[in-house]
Amino acid sequence: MLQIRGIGKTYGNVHALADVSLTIEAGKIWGILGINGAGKSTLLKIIAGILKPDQGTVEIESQPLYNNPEIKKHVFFLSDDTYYFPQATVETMAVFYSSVYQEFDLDRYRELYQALGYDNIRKIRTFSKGMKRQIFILLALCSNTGYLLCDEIFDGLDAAVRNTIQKLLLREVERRKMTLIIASHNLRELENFCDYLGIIHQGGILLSKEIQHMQYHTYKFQCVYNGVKLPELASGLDLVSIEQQGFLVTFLARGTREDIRKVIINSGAEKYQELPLTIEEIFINESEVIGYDIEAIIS
Amino acid sequence: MISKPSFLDFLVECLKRYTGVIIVSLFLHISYIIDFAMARQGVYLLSGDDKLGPQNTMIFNITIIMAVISGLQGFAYLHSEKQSLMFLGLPLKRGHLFLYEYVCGIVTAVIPGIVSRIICIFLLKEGQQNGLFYVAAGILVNILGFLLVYHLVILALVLTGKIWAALAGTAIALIYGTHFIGFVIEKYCAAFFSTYYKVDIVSKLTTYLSPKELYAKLAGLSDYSVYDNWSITGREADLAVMAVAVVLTGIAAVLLFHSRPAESAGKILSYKKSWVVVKIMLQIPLAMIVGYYIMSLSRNDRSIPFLFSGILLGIFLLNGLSGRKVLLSNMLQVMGIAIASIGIAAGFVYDLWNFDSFLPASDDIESVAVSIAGVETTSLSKMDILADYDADSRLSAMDLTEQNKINALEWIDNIRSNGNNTAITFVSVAYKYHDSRIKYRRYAITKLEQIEQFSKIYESEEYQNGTIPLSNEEKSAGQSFLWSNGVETYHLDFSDSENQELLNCYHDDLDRLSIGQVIESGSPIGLLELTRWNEENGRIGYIYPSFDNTIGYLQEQGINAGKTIRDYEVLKVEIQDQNGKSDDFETDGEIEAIKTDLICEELLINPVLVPVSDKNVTVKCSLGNERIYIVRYCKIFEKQGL
Repeated sequence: MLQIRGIGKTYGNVHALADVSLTIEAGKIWGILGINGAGKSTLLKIIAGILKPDQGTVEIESQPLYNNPEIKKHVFFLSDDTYYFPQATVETMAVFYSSVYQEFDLDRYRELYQALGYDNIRKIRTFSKGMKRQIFILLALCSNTGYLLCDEIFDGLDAAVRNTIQKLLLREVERRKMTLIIASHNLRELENFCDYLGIIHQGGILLSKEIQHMQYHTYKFQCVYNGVKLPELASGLDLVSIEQQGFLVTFLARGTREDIRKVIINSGAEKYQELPLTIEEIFINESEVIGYDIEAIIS
Repeated sequence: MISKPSFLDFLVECLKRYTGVIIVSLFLHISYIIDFAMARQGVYLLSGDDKLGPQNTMIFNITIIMAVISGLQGFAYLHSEKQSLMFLGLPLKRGHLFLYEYVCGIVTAVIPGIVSRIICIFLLKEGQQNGLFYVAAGILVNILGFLLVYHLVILALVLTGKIWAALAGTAIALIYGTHFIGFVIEKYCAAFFSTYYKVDIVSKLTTYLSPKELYAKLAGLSDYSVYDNWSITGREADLAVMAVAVVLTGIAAVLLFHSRPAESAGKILSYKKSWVVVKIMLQIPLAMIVGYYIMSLSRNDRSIPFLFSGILLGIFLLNGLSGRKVLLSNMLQVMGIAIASIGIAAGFVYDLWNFDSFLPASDDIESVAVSIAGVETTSLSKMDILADYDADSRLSAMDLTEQNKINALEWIDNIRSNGNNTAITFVSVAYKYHDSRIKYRRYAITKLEQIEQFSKIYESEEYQNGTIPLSNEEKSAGQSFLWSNGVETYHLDFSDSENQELLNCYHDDLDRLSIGQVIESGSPIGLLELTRWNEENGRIGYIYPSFDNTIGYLQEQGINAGKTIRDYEVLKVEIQDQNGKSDDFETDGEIEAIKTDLICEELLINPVLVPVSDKNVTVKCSLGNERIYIVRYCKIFEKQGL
C-alpha cells in the first residue's frame, strides 16, 4: 500500500502541492486528472522519490520512500519524454536498467520487444515517438516493480499505439497485481481503464474515488415522449444535465433509481431505458459540487 | 533471466557512457607521450616539454582539461530535467549515484595519466636520475590537481542549473584569487601605499584562492626550469593547502549533491540563498575595479571623489542591468555591498592599516633582507630600476640577522621618509617574522650618501650570500667557469684545482669590496659564471676593477680580464630608436665620443648608472689582428643623482 500523508511542495512562490493525502491500494489502476500545472507531475515525482516534499511523507508498506533504495526499487517512474543515452539501442538500455533494478527480466523484455517487431541493435533515437514510448513501457514492465508511475504517457499518441500500450499495462496489472498510477490532463485517455480516479487542482486533491462509488446515486435515462413534457420531468428530478432531441430526452439525475423511474412514468413517457454512465458524466457530476472546470480536462 | 545487479554492474554501465571521454583522454595522453618522446629527441612537436615530473606543462593542461570534461560528463545531467528524472528516479541513494559518476570520472582521466607517465619513463633510453621519483611526484601532484579542479566543476554543476552558469562559475572559481581579490589588492596598494612592493599574505591568499594557481605552484610551473628539478622542499604548505582544499571541496560536493533539489535543472542557481553569497563575492571586487579605473581617469590619478563615484557606478551597473524592479527589490543588499566596497576602498585611501608607516622592532623579526635595485642587478632600461627583477630571489635567499639586522633596520628608518619623486633607485625589503610570515616594503633612495651608508650591510657575508650567488659557492669541483666581459666570452677549460684557485681569488676580492667602490667604479669589467652540467643558469659573480687577484689569475691563464668594450677597436655604433629609426656612427671622432659612455648590457648593474634612453645600441667591434668582427649590444649610460 502506498500512503501519501500531507505532502506539500513549493517552487519559489508557487505552491505546487498543498497538504495532499492519498492512500493507494496495491494492485489497482489509479488515474490522476488535472489541467496543466495542477500539480500531477509534481505529485508523481514525489511518489517516485525524485522530488523531496517540503512537508509530509510518502510511504510504501510503512517505509519512507525518499532516498531509500530498498523501497524505491519497487517504483518505476515513466515520464512522457523519457531520457535515453544518445547511442543507446533497444538492448543496451535494458542492460542499463537491469544493472540497477534487481528484478529486471531481460529474457521477457527480449521476448516482448521481438513480439512488437523491434530490432535489438536499432538505436532508440531512430524510433518514432510511439515506438519509443512502447520500448520504455516494456522497460518499465520488465523491471518488475510493484508500482509503475506514468506521467502523461498517452499524450500525443495515435489511437492504435495508445491501445497497444493500454493492453500491455492491463495485462501486467492482471498478471502480477502491479499498481499503476497514471497522470493525465485528458479524461478520455483514462476512460474505461482506471479503478480509481482523482482530480488534482491547484496543488490539492479535489476528489479521489473508486469509479464504482462515483456512480452512486447518479443515473442516466433516455425517455421517449409523445409531445413535449420537459417542464414536468424537470420539476420532479434533481437534474445534473438534460438534453432533448425531438421526442427523445436524455438526462442525468441524482436520487434513487426507483424515485427517478416514478417521475419518468408520472411525466407520461412512452418508453424509457437506463443508460450506462460515461466516465465523463461521472466527473461532471462529481465535480459540479466543487465547481471544478471539468471542460478543461474532457476537451 | 533475473540476476542480482552489483556495484560493479552499474559502474560498468556508467563507464559505457564515458566512451567519448575515454577517447579524448586517450588522445590527449598519447599526444603527451609522443610530445615527450619527441622532445627528448630534441624535436618540439606540441609543448616540447620533456619533463617527467610535475613540472610538465602539457600534462598539467591535460589534467585540467580532463577534470573539466569528466566533471561535465558525470554531472551535467543535473542541468537537464529529462536526464535528472531518469537518474534521480533510479533506486539508488543519492550518495551512491554521486559515487558511481565520481569514480567513472577518475577512472577515465587518472588511469591514462598514470599509465602515460609510466610509459614515458620506459621511453628514456638511458634513464634519468631520480626518474622514478619525478614520475611518482608527477602522478601525485596531478591527481591532487585533477581532484581539485574536478571537485570545483562538480560543485559548479551542483550549485547551478544551467550549463553556462556552471562553466562561468568554474572559470571564475579557477581565477577568483588572482583576477578578483589579487587584482584589487595589487592595484589599490600600488595606488595608495608609497612603500608597497608586495603583500605576502595576499600573494598566498591569491594563490590559495585560485585553484589553478595553487596547482601550478605545487607543480612547480611558476619556477621556470628546463630540467626536472621538482622537490617537495618549500612546497609543504602548498601541498597541505591543496590536500585540505581537495578534501573540503569533495565533502562540499557530496553534501550539496545530496541536498540538491531535483527541480533545479534549468534554473541559474540551485540554491536561492547562494545567490546572495555569489553576488557579494563578485560585486565587491568588481565595483572596486570599476572605481579604480574611473579614478585613473581623473587628472591627478588619485581622486577620491572619482574613486567612490566609480564604485557606486559599478554597483549600479551590476545591479541595474537586471532592471529597476530588481534593483529596488534588492535595495538593502545593494546598499550593503556599496557600504562594504566603499569601506574597503577607504581603508586603502586613508591607510587604516598603517601600511606606509610600518617598521617592525628588531626583536619582532627573525631576519631582514634588502635588495637595492641596480646593485648587482642589470638595469637595461629606466623601468628596470623600478621593476628590480632579481629582488624576489634575493629577498628569499638573504637573511640579515643580529647586528646586520639592527644595522639594516636603522638604515631603513633613515631612508623611509624619502619621497618617490627624486629617487635614484629603490630598495626592496622583506621583514621575516619568527612564525615565517613575511612583510614586504619598498623605499626610495634619493641621495648617493644613503647608498654609501649601506656599506656596513653590503660588506657583510649575509648580504653578499643573498645577492652575489657566486659568493655562496665554496667548492667548484665538478663545475665549470664561464668568463665574459660583454664582448668576449670563454668557457674556461680549467682543472678542478684551477677552478678552486679562481674561486678563492674571487672570494678574497669580494671580501675587500665596498659599496663605495661599486659606485665609483662605474660598472664591473666582467663576470664569472659557475655552472653545473645540468644547469641552464649558473651562479654569477661580477668582476670589479678592484678585483686584482681574480683579474691577475685570469690573465695568468691567458684571459685578458682587464679589458672592457672601451679597449676594443670599435668599428661602428648603431643607435636605433623605438620607431626603428637608426643613426650610424663610423668616424673615429664620433665613436670615441660615444665609446666612453658605453657599457655592455649584462654589465650595466650600478644603481647610479642608468641608460640615457631605451634606445638599442649595437656596437661592432674588432677583436684585433684576426679582424674578427663581433657585434655587441650595449647601452649608453649616464650617472644620476650625483
